[in-house]
Amino acid sequence: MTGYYVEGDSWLHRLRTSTALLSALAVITVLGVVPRWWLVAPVAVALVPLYRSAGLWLRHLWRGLRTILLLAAVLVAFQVWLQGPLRAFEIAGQLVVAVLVANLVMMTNRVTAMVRTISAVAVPLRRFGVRRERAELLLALTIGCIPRVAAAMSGAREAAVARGVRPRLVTVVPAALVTMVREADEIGDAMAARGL
Amino acid sequence: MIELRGVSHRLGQRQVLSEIDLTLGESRIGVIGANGSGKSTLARTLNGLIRPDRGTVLVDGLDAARQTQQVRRRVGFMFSDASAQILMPTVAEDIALSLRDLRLDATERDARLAATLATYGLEEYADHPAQLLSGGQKQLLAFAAVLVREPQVLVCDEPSTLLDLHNQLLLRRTIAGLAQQVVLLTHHLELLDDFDRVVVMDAGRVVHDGPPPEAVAFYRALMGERVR
Repeated sequence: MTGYYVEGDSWLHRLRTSTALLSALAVITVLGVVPRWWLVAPVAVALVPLYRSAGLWLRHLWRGLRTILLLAAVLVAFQVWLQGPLRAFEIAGQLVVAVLVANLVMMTNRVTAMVRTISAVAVPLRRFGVRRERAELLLALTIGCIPRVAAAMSGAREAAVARGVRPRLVTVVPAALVTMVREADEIGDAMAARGL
Repeated sequence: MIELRGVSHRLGQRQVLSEIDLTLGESRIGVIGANGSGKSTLARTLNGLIRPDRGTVLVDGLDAARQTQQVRRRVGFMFSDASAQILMPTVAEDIALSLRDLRLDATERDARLAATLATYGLEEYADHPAQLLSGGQKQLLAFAAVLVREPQVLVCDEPSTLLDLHNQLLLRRTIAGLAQQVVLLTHHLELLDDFDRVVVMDAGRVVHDGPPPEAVAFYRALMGERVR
């Protein structure tokens, strides 16, 4: 849905989605528990050959990085001021590596396969009234909302710029929210029209 | 066969439909009218998306307000913005979603999905992110997702509004090739040339009902008077 998947036949593409998701979760959890430079740095370095072995290039790395660059910069500045440069490197590095690991999984696994894998977790919850199909639909709709939210935000920003207004959060967010509420209504109608 | 008997509906303070009586039996029916004339509200009553305040809408004798699920199996609905109709990540998944509640076995479901993808030229896009398709392809996907359920009637609410000329022609050809009864709401009057009947709406009422040339001429004259 987000257009992240990159076609390929590498060992990472062939890896079972559940294995890929669990491995990514393990790496991100370990980094979360032990966010030290001697762990963050080697994992970051190891990501380069991993990306290459999946047939992914620098632009793919950049695609994942650009979304968090501003946040990472703010984080670094804040942490340098609070705890010094080493700690700043560790915390920002932890964030960047986690995003790059998640990015690698998304680029080598189709969204559909990930949705199916994650919704399989709902199967044992059947006795509590959780239905797998519903969980799958919910996940797919949630993922489907990402580009809708992005489009609503960018549409509101462009509308402000077109009128010569500086696109500030206080003007863009309410306009985008109105669009999203209208779209939520449309999604509800579309589901009802299909008998869901 | 669709029958509307004394259908009226209000949205807030505004009377959007007033005492509509129609029997829709023809294969191709167009509905035209100015913005706010009540076309979309009328269309939405046909498959139970809107329950009218008064009157009944019957589809093959089934009440659209009470037997909604059965009516929705018979009446497919296309929205003007195909993007709003896409619910699942990929093209194949989105079409398959429409089959979910039909209780088909896996073989039949896969066969119907493959046939629909082929019919609408979407085979090579089966695993493609649906929201990244072009406008015309999204419209085809919306058609496919509705028609895979094999409804008997297709209601299209201004499906050509966001399309360029090429995709409008494609839409016209697609509609012409459908076996289903089609109720088409549109502002593109040329799409109605081959239709059997055109209903003109104004201020929530049916103000003309007849063959396309007369109905379109009536509508043009009506709008001409408004501009003067």
